[in-house]
Amino acid sequence: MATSTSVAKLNVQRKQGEVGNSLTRVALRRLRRDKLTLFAIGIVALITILSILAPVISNALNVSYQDTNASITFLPLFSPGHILGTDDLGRDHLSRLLYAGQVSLSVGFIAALLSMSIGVTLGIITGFYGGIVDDIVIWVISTLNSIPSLFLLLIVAAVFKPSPTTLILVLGFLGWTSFTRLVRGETFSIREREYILSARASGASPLRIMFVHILPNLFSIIVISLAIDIGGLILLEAALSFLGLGIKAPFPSWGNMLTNAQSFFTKGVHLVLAPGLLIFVTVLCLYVIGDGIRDAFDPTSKDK
Amino acid sequence: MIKYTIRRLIQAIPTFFGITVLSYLLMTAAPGGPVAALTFAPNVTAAQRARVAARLGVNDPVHIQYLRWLMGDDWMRWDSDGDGVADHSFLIPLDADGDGEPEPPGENRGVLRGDFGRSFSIKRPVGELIGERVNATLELGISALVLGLAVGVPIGIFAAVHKGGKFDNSTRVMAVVFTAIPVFWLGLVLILIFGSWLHLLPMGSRCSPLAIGGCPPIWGRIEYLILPTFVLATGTIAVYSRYMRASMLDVMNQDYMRTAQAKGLSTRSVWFKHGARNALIPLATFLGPAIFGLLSGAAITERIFSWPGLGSFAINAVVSQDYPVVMTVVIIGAVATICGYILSDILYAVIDPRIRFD
Repeated sequence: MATSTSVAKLNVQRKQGEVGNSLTRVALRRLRRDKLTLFAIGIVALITILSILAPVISNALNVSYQDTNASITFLPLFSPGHILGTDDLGRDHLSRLLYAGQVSLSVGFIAALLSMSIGVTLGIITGFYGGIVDDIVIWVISTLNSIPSLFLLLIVAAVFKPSPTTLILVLGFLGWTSFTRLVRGETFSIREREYILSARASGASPLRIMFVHILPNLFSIIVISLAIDIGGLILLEAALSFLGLGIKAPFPSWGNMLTNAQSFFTKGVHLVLAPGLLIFVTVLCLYVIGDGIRDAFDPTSKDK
Repeated sequence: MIKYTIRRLIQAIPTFFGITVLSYLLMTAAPGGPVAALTFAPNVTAAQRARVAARLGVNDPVHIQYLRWLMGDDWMRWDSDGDGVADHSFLIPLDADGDGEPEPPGENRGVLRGDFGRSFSIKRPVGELIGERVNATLELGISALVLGLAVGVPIGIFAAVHKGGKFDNSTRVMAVVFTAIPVFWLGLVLILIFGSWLHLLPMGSRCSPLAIGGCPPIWGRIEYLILPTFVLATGTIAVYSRYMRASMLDVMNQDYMRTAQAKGLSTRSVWFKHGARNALIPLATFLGPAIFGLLSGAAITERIFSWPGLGSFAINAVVSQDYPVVMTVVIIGAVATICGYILSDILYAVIDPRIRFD
């Protein structure tokens, strides 16, 4: 009875031709007014676009990120031909930063998408079925989480000698646990709701319930944790590469550009500051974006 | 309570075995390994290398190797008549390299009995090497934890009391900034400013390299501790101030807070005696993982400041493929993490009488 009346109400609303105030629509409206989040999105977009355009910019400035030149090492900022100077091997610093951005950003984004796909799928399945599947996955998660993550990554990095691709795979395949926990918990609560019961009653297959009825309702929490996860992975990649166990030469990454930073202290402080600032600003913006999306989707926040 | 603790400990056993299997498999998959480490000299022939490999047992099936690493091999090949020559074996051949003579009796007692093997690069028992470095790690970790609590908790309380005010907003920004800043870069910049430019603080290490007979007591070298402690504490400050704020806000809505106010207590007494003390309860449960986390949480900071602790030791061991050391640190870290979680659950029940595990 209750279900049929609510369906009737829905029909009434549609007949009047009103635009539904769906949560997503409200959230997008809130997001458009959130200057700080928009600014953060702008900065991340800018850094991403500049990194993608690295070859174009390097060509236009007539510099290369890998040509070493022993006669022009440690050029200061705003040197003719090298706006951000050169590094210890005489390579143009600006183009190195941009190419490094390609590597660091793609590692962060793709690895986060990979761990999200694994984590969300496992989370929905375990949350929906529960029982022995759930027990096994939870055991795997608690085992993985008991190993200090940096050490686990260190061993794996030592075994796989990462190129950017293997590093993405390693980070992606080790990072899914937080997504699974989150999605599993949320699925537990969603599967008890009336609309899932109604979907079951109308004969929907488990697969359809999971991916048509449950998944869309997880959208906001997934996006929030995706933004934060990308930031975390960029930090992790930077730390691993800094230690010499992540991205290695010839590929530049913001982390491995700092590996020898301590020897630049007297000759080129900008070489120490620039890569770290880029990591910091990118990660900070991603965290702000995650926070902004969380506020936008929060049904308890008052402003509309 | 005792029953619950025992149950949790038993539940931790499969997790522990999962960790050992996973890390053992990863280690055997790694390039290099014991044979390469022991036959590094260029004049070692292929036949000699094969014999070393056979003696070390790397040709045995993986499960036998795992068992040897876990439980030792002194019960797999032993000498029963005391002449120093092995005469019995179990699971593994008596004469592994096929030269007609039995291999020497097994001496390894296995990880479960506290024998972590010998370091490839330093050629000494790993247990000893770890023992020499634990103190440095604990010293840094405890000071960072104390600093993190001493700064983070008051910040959280004041932010909650003045919710929405300038202080609250600025600490919120600070918390995000502290979590977004790469730890290693923060360390580098601080070394650059305070060490290289201002010459106020040393650029790294635990004490002066000129100190005779090891490092002096801690009060004689505080300046070495300042920067790494601060860098390590930033994360703790960020996390604890946020949790303390949330917990304090929670407590401030409780009836007993209104009662305290209604009966005319001073604002200070209401906030600190009735509020903050209750707000600390959920935080106490963090202490379990935090204390054990000290053992493994400082690797990057230790590395940047050349702090001679477990973390930097482990990183160097990974770089030099010194697997016994890496494995030991991983296992210690994992056991510490498991204990931390169990301790935190037990603390929760001890501190908060509303929670019962039955």
